[in-house]
Amino acid sequence: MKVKSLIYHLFPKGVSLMQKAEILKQKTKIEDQSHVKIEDQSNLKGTLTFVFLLGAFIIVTWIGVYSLFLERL
Amino acid sequence: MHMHKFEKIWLIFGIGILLVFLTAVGVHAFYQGYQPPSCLVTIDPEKVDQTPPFDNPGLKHLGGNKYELNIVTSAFAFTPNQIKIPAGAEVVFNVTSKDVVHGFEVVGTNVNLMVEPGFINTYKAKFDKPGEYLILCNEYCGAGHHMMNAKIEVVEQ
Repeated sequence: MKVKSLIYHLFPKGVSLMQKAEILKQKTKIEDQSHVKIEDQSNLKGTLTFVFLLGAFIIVTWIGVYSLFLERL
Repeated sequence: MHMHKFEKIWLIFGIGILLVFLTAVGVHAFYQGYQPPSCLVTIDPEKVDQTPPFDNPGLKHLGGNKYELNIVTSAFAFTPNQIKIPAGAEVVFNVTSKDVVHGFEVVGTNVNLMVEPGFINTYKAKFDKPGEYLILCNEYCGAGHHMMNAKIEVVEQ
């Protein structure tokens, strides 16, 4: 029932096949545009945080291994 | 080219780390003269038993606290496999293989060599702490690989 009402909502009675196609096309276009817009306002704060966390991990392990080497000299 | 401010930050950070690490390797190799334990010194693997110093393997006293330890590896043994070293000794290891690739690791120290037939590995180490040190093969060399071990005993003088 839900699917049926959704179809009626999107494509009211009396809308031709061509019009339906046009509506779908418009809808996809809007979605695409909004998607691109979201990407454009990308927030890289999280990425930066994890890049630095990974960097810190690499530096800490490197220092750890090097100090182990020095300790065993 | 447009670049996000954060992208610039992590690119500078990443390239900076790369430069620091490459400088560390460069200083170690070209200024301090460090080189891989196996560095171009060759031997005929079929004539190891006749080639000095491996014709008489074992510990040699060079004078003072300096020693030389010559060890031959083969499937699946180190020759010799019981070594006594006085505490405080500075030991130069010379290790070679008669057959396949073996590992030579003195557990708990920096001595960790990949022993390839045809090449002589050389590495210097100091043994200050008395005790037993296990030598292990850490390169798979065949069916008896897990049995291949030896022992260094560092004794108080």
